[in-house]
Amino acid sequence: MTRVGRLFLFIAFLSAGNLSVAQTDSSLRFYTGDLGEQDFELSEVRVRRSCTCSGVCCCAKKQESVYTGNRFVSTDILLSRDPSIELIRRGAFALEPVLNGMSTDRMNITIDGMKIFGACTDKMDPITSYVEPNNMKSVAVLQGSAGALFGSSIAGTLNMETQGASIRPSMKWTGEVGTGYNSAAKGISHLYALNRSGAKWAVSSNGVYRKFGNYRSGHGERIPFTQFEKWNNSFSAKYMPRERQILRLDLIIDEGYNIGYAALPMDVLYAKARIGGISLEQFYQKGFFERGEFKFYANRVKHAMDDTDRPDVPMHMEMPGLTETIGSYADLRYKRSAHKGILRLDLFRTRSRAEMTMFPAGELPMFMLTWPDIVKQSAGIYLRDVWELRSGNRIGVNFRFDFVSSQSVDQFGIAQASVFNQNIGETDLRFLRNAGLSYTAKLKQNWKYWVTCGFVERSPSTTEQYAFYIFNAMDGYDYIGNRSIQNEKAWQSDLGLEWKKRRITWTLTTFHYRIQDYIMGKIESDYDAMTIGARGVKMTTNLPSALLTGARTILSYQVNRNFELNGRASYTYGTIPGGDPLPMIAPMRNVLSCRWTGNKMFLQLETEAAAGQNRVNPDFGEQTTPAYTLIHFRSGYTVKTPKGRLILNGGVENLFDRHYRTHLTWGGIPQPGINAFLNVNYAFN
Amino acid sequence: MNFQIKTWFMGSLLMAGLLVGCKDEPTIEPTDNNNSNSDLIEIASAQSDVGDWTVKLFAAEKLFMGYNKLYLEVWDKTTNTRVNSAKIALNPMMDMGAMQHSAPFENPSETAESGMFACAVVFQMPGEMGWKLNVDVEMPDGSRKGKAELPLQVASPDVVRTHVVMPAGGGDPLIISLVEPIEPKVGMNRFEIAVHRRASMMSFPADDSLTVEIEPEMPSMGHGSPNNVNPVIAENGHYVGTVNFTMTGMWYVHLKIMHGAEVLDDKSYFEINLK
Repeated sequence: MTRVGRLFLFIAFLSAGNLSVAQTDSSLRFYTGDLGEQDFELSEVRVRRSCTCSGVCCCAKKQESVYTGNRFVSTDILLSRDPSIELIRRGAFALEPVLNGMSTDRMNITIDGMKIFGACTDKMDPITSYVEPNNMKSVAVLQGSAGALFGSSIAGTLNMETQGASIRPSMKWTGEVGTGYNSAAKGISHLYALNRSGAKWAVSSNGVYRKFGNYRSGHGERIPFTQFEKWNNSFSAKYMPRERQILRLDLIIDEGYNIGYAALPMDVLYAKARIGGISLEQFYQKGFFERGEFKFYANRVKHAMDDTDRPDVPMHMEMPGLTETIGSYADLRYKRSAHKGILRLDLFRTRSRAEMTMFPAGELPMFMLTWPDIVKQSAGIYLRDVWELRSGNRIGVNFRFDFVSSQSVDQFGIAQASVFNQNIGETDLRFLRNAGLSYTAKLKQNWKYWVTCGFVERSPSTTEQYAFYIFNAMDGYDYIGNRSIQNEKAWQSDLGLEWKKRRITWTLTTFHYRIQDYIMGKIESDYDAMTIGARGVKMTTNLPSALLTGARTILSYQVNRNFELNGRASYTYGTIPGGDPLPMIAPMRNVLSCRWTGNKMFLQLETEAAAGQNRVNPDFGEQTTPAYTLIHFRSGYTVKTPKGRLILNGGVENLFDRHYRTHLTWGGIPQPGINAFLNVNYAFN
Repeated sequence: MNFQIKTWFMGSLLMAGLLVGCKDEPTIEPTDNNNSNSDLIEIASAQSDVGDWTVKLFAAEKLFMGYNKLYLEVWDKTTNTRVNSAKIALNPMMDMGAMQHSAPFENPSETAESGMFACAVVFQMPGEMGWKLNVDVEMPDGSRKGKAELPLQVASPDVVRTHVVMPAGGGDPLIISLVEPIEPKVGMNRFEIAVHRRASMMSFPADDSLTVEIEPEMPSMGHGSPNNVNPVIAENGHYVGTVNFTMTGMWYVHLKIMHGAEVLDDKSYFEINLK
């Protein structure tokens, strides 16, 4: 159990390196128990020692352990500890991750490799909101072309790997219960996990319940519409029909209710996800192939926006949305002399439908399809090969090709789009190409570097292609999709440098994207806005180019057995032709922490600082954001009991009650002020 | 080993099969309100005074104040067959006791389609009684003539479908009637109006000389819709264009009627409700 506890929140990195490491192991390890866990353990070791990602990875470095132990935060907050990730905030729930300045349209977000799409036209439900850290083993952040295993994208992939059941015959029952309190939002969280293992099988279940009120910002003002309530429960089963075979079933149910979005004109009545997957893994003992996996999955997300609780609405409005996805992939991993790699075939089909109905007094309801029932189908093939040279240096190449088709299957939706002279009933077929090349090498003693360059391409999102008057509260425009826009593509390169000497590790990574046919909304002054109070209409278009570049650095210093210093900083710069800034780019941000760890407890002091952002794009409703500095204090205490461990975590965030907002917060809503938290967790085995 | 590889490939095939097999279209809620209303109802029928004909009048709905598309059947009582070729002349009349007036109308062509003669009348006022439609029937060769008189009831529609406009600069009043869309749907709709001048109480010639502009608006939200096409003259005072509706609900289509540069009317609109 302790190991499970330790691993629980660890942000690991799933990469060429650690995938292949798992395959170098002996059959002994395989037989002793759960394979996934060993994968993880090995990757954990590997990640700490060196990084071999085929893109530049932001591997979870050692300092991440500073944050482990806190299983009570949400997935998005957890993710933001990765320096390449920032969060767009529209309320206090379901924050949208931004990877290197690119938001969810430009990246894949997958759960155990499963494709799943949010059902909200206003991006109020990024997929990260449907998985809880309590159910997670790791999140892989794969940048640019390195993320192509999971699909075509510009920015890369966030793959959340769930914990799953653990086959450990030595421990029949393991589990934990916990509860936590958060003062700024008067929030409570409860969680549990339970695992039952037999000799060749295991089942597990875990769940979370959270209820948060409106939070209090710095200086004592309570921010209305930041409340939420949610629960998440997952079930996992594993069975080994043969010695080198694992059959795995996973189910996740996630439901949120009464979720406030302070920056938007509407809240969420409910957000419900049903996610299921079944997979068969085969590990080969000898020969060319090492491992095969076949997976089939299906999921359904329902989301309902509603303004019932809002004062002064001109008329009541409802906006339900739905996505249904089924998909499948098959992997073959191979190893031959110095080469190892993976071949994946994947298919998915997703349907997106969103409606808007307004109810004017004494008139007919006004109805439209904001996503006109779009069916998107995709078939892809991915191949990666990593060649380990004699010197220990590595060359990696990867390719991905996809066919993506989309069309509307609703006559109403097709008729609707005809007003913009678009025929969306016909199939739109696209071909996508992605390729990456990476080289990792030792420079000399203590130094190591890696270079990646790639070509990445993505098809437009459902909203970009098919939106019908989707209101964006940030810039105040109604968005109309453009079916005939070009695929967005980019030349991308990363450069990384690592210096490591005994107790000090320092890394610097830079990224650079030259994006062609950048997809963005353009003001169409001929068209009337639909939404009351909107500034106008924007139609999706391709900008000839855009540039994104930035750097991250991480420093970790283990001063002595008890004392550890960590720091990380990130900076992103984006621009479009004519020199205007790309909208929604976070300013320079850094986090410094020092931590003292004793036998039973730890104490940690942390500063989080962001520079101001004055490079803003007013066409997108951006305002400048002042700089801020926050101080956090965290601590933990562990009591061993005969049957388990009691873990107390407590601390104070925003210790000086600063009134601040992050640049990516919509509508200038201030963030929580001083927040004391206390979590109690009991783990047994 | 080989067996296992085979299993893997079988899995892949199965996977492909599953997706291909899942091609059935998802259930779509019926939001389409464009039912083709081919079922006509019988409005009235009358015997001709001479000539041994029965004249039957059909329409898609009960007659209303506005532009009504009408369909006439002429039955030859001697053979009990439908007449497919005849000269038919309409004359709608409203008898208000103290005075009488006619209404704009469009005579059918000489040849029936599917046994029916399509024609139209613009009723300018409602009435339970008082309206009648005089139908003169004559064989194409002039061999037989007769006249039927059909009494009519004209209802007041839920929304105004015809306007009488006094041109700003004087001249004959204009009767502007909505022809299409009768069953509007979200998306592109044919927009058609008919314009007649009231030269006298008995004479309503069609006016082909106008320029028409339209602007749809959703009054409770204040927005319009994109890419509308202003109506242009087709024939017989009919102006045809395209109106786009982006959502269901109540719409106004605002009209601007011009003669050359002179604006005759820019106040009228038609209310169109989309369910």
